[in-house]
Amino acid sequence: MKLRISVKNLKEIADLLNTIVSEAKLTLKKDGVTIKAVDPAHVAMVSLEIPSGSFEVYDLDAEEDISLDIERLKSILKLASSGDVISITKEKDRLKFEMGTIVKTLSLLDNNTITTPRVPQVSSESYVVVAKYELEKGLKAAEDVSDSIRLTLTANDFRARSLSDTEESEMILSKELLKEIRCEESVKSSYPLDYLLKLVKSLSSTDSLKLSFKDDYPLTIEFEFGQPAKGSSDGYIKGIFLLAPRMEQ
Amino acid sequence: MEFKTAYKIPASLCIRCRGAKMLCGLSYCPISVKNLLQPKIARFNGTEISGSTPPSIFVGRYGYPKVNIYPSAPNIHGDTSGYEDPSKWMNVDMEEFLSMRLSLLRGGMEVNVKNISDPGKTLQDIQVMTLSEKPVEVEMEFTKNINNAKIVLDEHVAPMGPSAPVKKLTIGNGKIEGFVERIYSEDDLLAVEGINTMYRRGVDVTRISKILSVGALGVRKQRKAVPTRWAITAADKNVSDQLTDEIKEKPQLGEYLAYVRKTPGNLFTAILSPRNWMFEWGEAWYPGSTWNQWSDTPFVEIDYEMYGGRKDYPGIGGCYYASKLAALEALKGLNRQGSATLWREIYPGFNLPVGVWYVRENVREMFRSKPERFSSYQEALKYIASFLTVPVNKWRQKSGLDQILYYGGLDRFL
Repeated sequence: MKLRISVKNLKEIADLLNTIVSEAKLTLKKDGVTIKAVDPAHVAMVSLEIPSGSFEVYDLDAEEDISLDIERLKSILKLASSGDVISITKEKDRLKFEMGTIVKTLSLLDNNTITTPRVPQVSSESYVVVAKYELEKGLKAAEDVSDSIRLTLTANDFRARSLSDTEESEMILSKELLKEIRCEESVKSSYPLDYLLKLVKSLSSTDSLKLSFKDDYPLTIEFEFGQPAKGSSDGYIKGIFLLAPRMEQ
Repeated sequence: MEFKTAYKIPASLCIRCRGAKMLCGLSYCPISVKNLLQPKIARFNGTEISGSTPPSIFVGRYGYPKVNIYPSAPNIHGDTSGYEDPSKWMNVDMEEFLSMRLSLLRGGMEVNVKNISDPGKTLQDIQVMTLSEKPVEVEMEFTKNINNAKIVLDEHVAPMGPSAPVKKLTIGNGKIEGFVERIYSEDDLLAVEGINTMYRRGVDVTRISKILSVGALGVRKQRKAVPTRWAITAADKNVSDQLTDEIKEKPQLGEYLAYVRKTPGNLFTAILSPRNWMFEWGEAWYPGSTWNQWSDTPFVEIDYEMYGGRKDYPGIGGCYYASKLAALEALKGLNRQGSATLWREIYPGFNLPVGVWYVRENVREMFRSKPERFSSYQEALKYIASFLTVPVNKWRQKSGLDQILYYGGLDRFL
């Protein structure tokens, strides 16, 4: 096996996974890598499709699963410069990372110790496509108010509101400020704020996010990130983030 | 030595009450404490004592890094180990507990915490005294009459008697287990490794915290004295971290376990749930309890952590780590992983800061009792709600884990 990928792409993948897990199983297939991870509380789930076009070199001996400690991977990536391209090879039960003048190895974890999450089948007719920086502003505004945020979607706008006994925070994005909106009947649901903030902060190269939900229902966020390798047209990484609702009591 | 309450209690109340009805609103009777204290300090002239220390040590935090370190002892000889054994304090009433603790007379000396790494003879004697598993004979001469000094009450540290600067200190021989001696003599052993080894060998966190406080642990050159209040939490936290790693390897519980414990002025409840490790500690202080003297509704405060742990110090303080240790010990005893939701209610009249030991020992005792078993969180919640006096919805609104346990996160949509 030999892979070459930009430090930027790999770092963004690791940062995103690390918002919900510290270990993950990667499924290496002919056309790319897929990853599914659920946080230990079963509140949030990430699934990623990393096409072979995200890699400078994507050369497999066989399709296989490999499991990694994401925090250890992140500390290896700290040794690289942001412009580096990293070479990854597998030697028995270790991965070898070569970047510039540094060579580091990382022991693989036993695949059986990482559970593959079952993915809930959720779907909603209503969705909104919003600029990431707009949503991030709204989430940050709510951060010191409450640990939960209520999203409301109507035919005309998208709102994110947090309430405490003494304070309130609301982001209102009217139709003109949204990239896309589809909603026939208004929907609302609350979500834990910290998961959303961590997700948005980890996605450094994403421009826009597609959010779909309905009343008291999981939130689905779809996004693309990363940079295709040179010469590849379809090398963006596709991600789906699922988040359980916070129910009103 | 005088033991006085902060305000005057009219004699008419005491005459009608006679220590039985708590008419003054305190959780203990000051007159009974005084009467019980008397024989313990009877032969005491105020400037010198001779007694058996359990061993007992207190390290202050004011003026850090220049702090006061206080070996202490009652003015009696014999087996005084009960004076420093929180597991025994639960079985005596508050008056007996207070009179025992307040008779621990403290001889203080100022020390820079860093000077512990190369202690002089006196500090070394104090360290060796603290390491002992059995009481040690101590003689102290004070520069001032200790009868004129004040007593200390602190919510983290068990109450202790008055102090005076020590002029002369003579410490007898203690008895130290070989492995404790080796940890003390080792030059390069990290403090956390010393703590974990002692815990594994059966040394309780209370004693570990004392050994840590006198700077007897860690890499020799970096050893420091640690104020008692911080040392207690450091011991609870370090042992908890170790136990957390251990229980994460265990299979999940098979059902929901609910525990309840009532003590004078307190209610403790717990639900252990069949999920990955998570922890929550909540306290509801009624008006008229130690930390809610002026409002007119119970105040609920909750801190929690998810599977990955917390990065910041919980606002609730040392009780968080003391209760977490007790919950982890319970899960370890069951050989299972689970989520622990612990809530405590503190009622009016419980108005004396007694120390975090009270939480640790009562939560431990609660987990020793037989739990009620349920197949759902909702049923377990209903059971503990029948004991809680704060409405269960108020608890649930403040809870960090309730949402996940009640609604099941994403699992509900599978």
